[in-house]
Amino acid sequence: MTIIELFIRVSLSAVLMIGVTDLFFAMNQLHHQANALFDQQEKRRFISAFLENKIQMAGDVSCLSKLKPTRATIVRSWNAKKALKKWHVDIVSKTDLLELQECVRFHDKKKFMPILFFVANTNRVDKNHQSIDALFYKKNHHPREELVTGVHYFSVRLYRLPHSKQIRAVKIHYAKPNGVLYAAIMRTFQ
Amino acid sequence: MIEVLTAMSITTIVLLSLLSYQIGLVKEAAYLNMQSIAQMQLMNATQILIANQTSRNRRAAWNQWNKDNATVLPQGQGSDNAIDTHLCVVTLNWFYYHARSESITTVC
Repeated sequence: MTIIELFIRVSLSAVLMIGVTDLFFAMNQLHHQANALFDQQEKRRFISAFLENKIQMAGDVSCLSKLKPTRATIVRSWNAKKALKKWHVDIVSKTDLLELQECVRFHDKKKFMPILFFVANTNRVDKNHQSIDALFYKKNHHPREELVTGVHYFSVRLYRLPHSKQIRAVKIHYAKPNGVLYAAIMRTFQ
Repeated sequence: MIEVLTAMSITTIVLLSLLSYQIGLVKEAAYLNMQSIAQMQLMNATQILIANQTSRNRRAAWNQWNKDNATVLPQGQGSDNAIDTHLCVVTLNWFYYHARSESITTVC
C-alpha cells in the first residue's frame, strides 16, 4: 500500500463517517418529530373526549331532589383576572376558565357542584428550565387535578340561544392552531 | 481499494434506504395527525347541527366551522349534503401531497 492509497482510504473513511453521523442525527430528529406528532394527537383526543362529555352533561341535576331545583347558571367563562377573584385560581394570562355546574362523583356519591377547567402553571420546570403549564380540572373548592401536561392555551366562547340567556354550545380553543372543540349542551337538562 | 469502495457503497445504500423509510414514516404520521384533526372537526360539525336548530344560526355556525377548517388543515374546506329528510353527509376536504377527504353521516 502506497502513501497515496492510504491517504485516499483515510479521506474516504472520514467522508463516510461524517455521512453516517449526519444520517444518524437526521433519523433521530425524524423520530422525535414523529413522536411529537403522536403525542399531540393523543392529547387532542383525550382533551376533546373528556371536555365534550363534561360540557354535554352541564346542567345535569339527576342527583338533586326534585323538591330542590337549582337556579345556578350551568356554564360560565372567566378571564384570568376574574378567575383569581372568584375562584382564587391563578390561571395563565390571556386564557379562560370554564365553569360547569353538574352532578359529579365525589367521595363515592353524586353531588351537584361547579367543576372548573383551566390552564395554570404546574410549578415544575423542563430540561431547559422553562416552566411547565398544564390543563387542570377542579371540583368546587377542592384541590386541582392535572389532566394534560403541556397545554398552554385555553380560550372559551359561549353560544346562547337566540333571544335567550340560555347557553346552547361551548367552543374551546385549547391548542394553537389545531385544537378546537365545539360541544352542544343537552337541552333536556336545562 | 475496490473492496473499500464497494463496502462504502453498500453501507450508503442501506443507510439512505433507512432514511427514506423513516421519512415515509414521518409523512404517514403527519397524515394520520391531519386525519385525526379532520375527524375531530367532523365531530364538531355534528355538535353544531345539534346546537343550532334554525337555519340562520346553522349558517353562521357553519361559516365559522369552515373558517376553522381552513386554519386547522391545509386548504381545509367542509360541505354538507342532505341524503334524506333527517340525514346529512358532512365531508371535509384538505390537501396533503394530494387531495384528501373524510366524511361522516349524521342526523340533521
